[in-house]
Amino acid sequence: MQKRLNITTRNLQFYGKSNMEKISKATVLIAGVGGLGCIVSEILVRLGVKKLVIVDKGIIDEPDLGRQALYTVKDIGKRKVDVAKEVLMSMSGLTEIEATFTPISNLDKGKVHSCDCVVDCLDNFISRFELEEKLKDTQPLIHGGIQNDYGQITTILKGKTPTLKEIYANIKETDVIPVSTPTVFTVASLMAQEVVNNILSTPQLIGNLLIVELNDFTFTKIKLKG
Amino acid sequence: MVKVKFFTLLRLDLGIREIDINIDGEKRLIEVLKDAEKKTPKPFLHKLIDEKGELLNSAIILVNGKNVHHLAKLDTIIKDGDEIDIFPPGGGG
Repeated sequence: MQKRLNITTRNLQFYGKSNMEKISKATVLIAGVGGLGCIVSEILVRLGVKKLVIVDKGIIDEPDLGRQALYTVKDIGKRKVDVAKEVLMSMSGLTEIEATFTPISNLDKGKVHSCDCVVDCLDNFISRFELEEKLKDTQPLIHGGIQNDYGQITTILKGKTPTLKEIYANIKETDVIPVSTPTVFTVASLMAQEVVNNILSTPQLIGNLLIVELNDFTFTKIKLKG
Repeated sequence: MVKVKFFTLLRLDLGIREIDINIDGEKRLIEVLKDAEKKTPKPFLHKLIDEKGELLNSAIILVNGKNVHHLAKLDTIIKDGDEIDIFPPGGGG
């Protein structure tokens, strides 16, 4: 406990003991440890969450290093989840990290249900819809997506809010999606904030789509209807 | 008054964030979008609709927060006070 307090002192000053205890008891599933997932994971580990379940089927490749903050040149060719686990463990030693090397389609439903929050850091809509199918009712799913210098975030509560499949009906997949690194880090940070909001029972994006346009720093919330 | 809002790629291309359209009674979405196109600095409908008049899958169109694919698509009825949001979402992670 003393060690945890040393690491999270500044956050403790802000959040207070009661909220930090809630954070320290939270288990969060990170679907995808690419650009968004690396940053969301790092923030949650530095905040002292109890456990992260990180899920990805990817291998680290050169273009990943331009925006995926947990990886370096020496990691090229390795599994993302393995390197991410090692790096995240080294940050504080307080958060348990469970690494699962699998596509979302093979992800065990029970594993999803065991988490307090699920974070969609995936890079395609098909996998997002597969992940959403595995949620239990009212389990928070924090969704984020990015392209170029913009992105969007919302919190899905299955059975309460419109689903991703409804919001993105008929949207096409893009093969290689251009993104700017500042956008990755910004949108991921905002997603981490909404994860914390959910852990503290004060979610801000349930039924709201936040659109972030970094080129002129515009943030817009659109109220969604089912 | 109906508000038509453009986001991200569309907003950058058109150079405007939103326009207001006056409508008398009710109109179909396609008619409102055509009215909107008369007011934008350059055409945008070709980015949303193909030559056959079908919706393309590059952007989502929300009417009062609901994707028009779950309404009547381009035949969705628009009335005074409605908001239309046109947004090409980011698919990357």
